[in-house]
Amino acid sequence: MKILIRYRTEIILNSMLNLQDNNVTVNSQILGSPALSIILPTQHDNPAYQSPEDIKKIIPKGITFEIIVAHYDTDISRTTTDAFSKVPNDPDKVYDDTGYKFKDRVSHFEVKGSFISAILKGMQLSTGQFILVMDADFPYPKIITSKLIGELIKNPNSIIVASRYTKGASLHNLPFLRRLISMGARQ
Amino acid sequence: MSITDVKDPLSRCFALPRQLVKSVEIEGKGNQLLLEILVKVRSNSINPIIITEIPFQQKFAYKFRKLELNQISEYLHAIWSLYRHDKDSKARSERVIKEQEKHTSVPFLSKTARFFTVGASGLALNYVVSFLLSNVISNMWYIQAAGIGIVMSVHTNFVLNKIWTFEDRNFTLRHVIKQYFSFLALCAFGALIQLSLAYVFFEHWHIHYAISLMLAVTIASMSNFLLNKKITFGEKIWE
Repeated sequence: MKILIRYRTEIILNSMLNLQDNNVTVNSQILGSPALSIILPTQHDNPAYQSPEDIKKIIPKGITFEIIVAHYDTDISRTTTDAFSKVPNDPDKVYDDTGYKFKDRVSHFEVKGSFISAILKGMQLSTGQFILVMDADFPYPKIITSKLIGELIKNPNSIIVASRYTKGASLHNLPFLRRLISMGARQ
Repeated sequence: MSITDVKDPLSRCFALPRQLVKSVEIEGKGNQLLLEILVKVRSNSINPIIITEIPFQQKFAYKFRKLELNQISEYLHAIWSLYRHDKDSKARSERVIKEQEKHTSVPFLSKTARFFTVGASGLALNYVVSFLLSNVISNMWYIQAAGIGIVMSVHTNFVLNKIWTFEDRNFTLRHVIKQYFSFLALCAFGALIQLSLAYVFFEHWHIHYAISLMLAVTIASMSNFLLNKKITFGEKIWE
């Protein structure tokens, strides 16, 4: 009975996330592509607050997903990077020809460039029909991932934003200049 | 929620369907991906985009990196490019609308034809009712019969113009009553224009009576059409 309920939930959630294009959905399912791609850009010398393992635990059961950790280094002159230092030293990790590492729906790659280049590269590599971007180096509360996914299930054609300024949000230590820039962008 | 209502367009945490960004060229200038996506998706999409903001509370302190001068300059440049992009796409869509408006002569002519057909049907009804009341059904005084004919034709004209000519499907009582009285007032105004013009053409300019009457009827009917189109049915004149 438990297995049956889980199976049904899986079908419902995936069909809710795959409302966009039925043909693509069928193909994706045949090819084993996930419904959701989570892209986690992280700067090589920053401590990462969002770990793929923690995120995996939060994703609602039944949603097929992949997590792409994009390690970026803004210092282009640096010849050797420590980009993969945050990848757990797992003996089972797999390297492919391009240097990406895959294990259990989590892949890592490195980018010489900015935060945005990391995300764009991650989006390019991702295969999910839905994309969730989260700065891995920021201490987002754990619940935000499931809230974003939940909202995406409710409104599959919308853009869901984790907001620092909407009613109910709170933020500490945001420097004045950053606050000013955010205000400017809203105009 | 529209894009300008988004409180945190620089958020680094968001989710979206891949399809939304499929046809958008993301340049990544200024390191503000969400803002670029919001602006470009909006200008690329015909339908409004639904944006939902979920508040989050930062539980513990985070040391933000100090912004460098080149980052600020890149950011300002990106904002300017996005502003230009948005403005250009708005201008493009306005041009498309204007182009479409150029081709609205057919609906205008079609509505004119419908209005005059309705007018002709009113005239026919007026004649038939007046004739029946004064000659066949009863021996009513012809002025009385003509009066009843006019009232009936005005009402059928109103109903036909609302439903057929202007295809107005708002049947709320308040709206219909407002339109009805506007239509009546404009009919009276049209009759006044017709009589005045016929008088001027015939008495002052000495044009043949039949031609004076025809000219007066044509001008009054056209003004009646345009005024009803604009005032009674709330349409643009040349639409």
